[in-house]
Order: sequence, then structure tokens, then C-alpha cells
Amino acid sequence: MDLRHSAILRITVGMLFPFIVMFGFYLVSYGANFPGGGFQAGVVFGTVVIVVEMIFNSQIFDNTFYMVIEFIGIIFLFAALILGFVFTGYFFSGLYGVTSASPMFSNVFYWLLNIAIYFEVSGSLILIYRSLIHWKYDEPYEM
Amino acid sequence: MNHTKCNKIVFDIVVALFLLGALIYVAIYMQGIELVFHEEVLDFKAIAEHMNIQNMVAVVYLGPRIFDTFLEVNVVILTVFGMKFIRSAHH
Repeated sequence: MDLRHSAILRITVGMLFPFIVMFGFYLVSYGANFPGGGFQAGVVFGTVVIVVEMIFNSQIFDNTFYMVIEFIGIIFLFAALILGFVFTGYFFSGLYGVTSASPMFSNVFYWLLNIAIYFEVSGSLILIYRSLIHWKYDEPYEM
Repeated sequence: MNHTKCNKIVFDIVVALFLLGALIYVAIYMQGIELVFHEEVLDFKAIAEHMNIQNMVAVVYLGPRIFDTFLEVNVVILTVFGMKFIRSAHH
């Protein structure tokens, strides 16, 4: 039987989807004080979207949405790189001292960096998956 | 038994032997591993206090390995662009 037609998979993934998305956001938000980080969170989000698309055989958003997400991540990342250099003379060091009492924003720079990597990795992972899933491997690539 | 199946069995045996060897190595030779205190830990502790971060991995990540992370992310970006380039070349 095709896994796509499995009621167990469809119901389980459908029910777990919001919780896994929330878990990914937890990983990115509390990475400064607990295990986690932007890359892991991006992989969690990207993977759950891929699983849902595989099982339900539909696209949650179109490619443009994920390209925009990826682009926002890249802009944030390069902004952190350049702003640090402009303000302090060292790359990535502009907001190191901006802290708060909240465990979520205990270091603002780290949170922004995690968000940038989260957007970039999740968008990229989904785009790579979609490129591969529609790949016609019987056509050899020639430069 | 066909050739492919025979190759698969040989591959499985080689992987099993490799894992067994790794297990024996860890169990016997890494038993008396000596724990050494590194002075760099004090630097990381100071950075953690300055940045208000409790996760030591995050401190290492923000300290000397920030460019490592940056380049890792760039590899992902390049992969997407590479995929797009190859697909556009196909079409």
C-alpha cells in the first residue's frame, strides 16, 4: 500500500504538525539558554513541512513564499555581519552586549542571528526538497 | 544467489565488523581517558557572563565559531542556487 494512503500517518502528522512547528520556534527562541539553535530549528520546521507535503501530496505554500523567507534570512545574516563591522570594527559583534532578563531574549544578537539562520535553513531545505522531488533523473545533465 | 545480493551481504558484514571494532576500541582503549582542565573554559565563562547566556555551546558558537556557522549557512544558500542553476539548464 502507498504510504500516502495510510490513515495512521495522515492523522498523526496532521495532529502533530502544529506542535512540531511550535517546538521549532521554541528551539530558535530559547537557544541561548537551552539546547537548540537556528540551524536545528530550521531543520525541524523544514522536515515537518516536507513530511506533510509527502503525505498529503500538496504544497503548503508555493516556492515564492519560501524564497522570500530564505531571502529575509540572508538579509538578516548579512545585516548582522555588516552592522557589527560598522559599529565596532569587528564582524558580527555589534549587539553582543544587548541583554535582557527574559530567558527568551537574554541576548538579543544571538536571538536575531538564530532567527536569520532559522529562516534561511528552513526555506532552503524545502526548496532543495522540491527541486529534488521533481527531478527527472533520466535526463543527464550537460553543461 | 545473485551478484547484487552477495555484494549487499559482504557490505553488511564489513559494516558490522567496523562497528564491532569501534565498540571494542571505545570499551578497552578509551577506558582510562584522562580529564584535563583547560584554561580556555574560564574565557568562555567570562563571555557567557558578559552576554547573559547560559548555554555554553551558544558561547562557543558566538565566539570563535561564528564564522564557521556563517559559512555553513552560505553552503546551504549555494546549494539552493546550484539546484536552481542545474534545473534552469535542464529547461
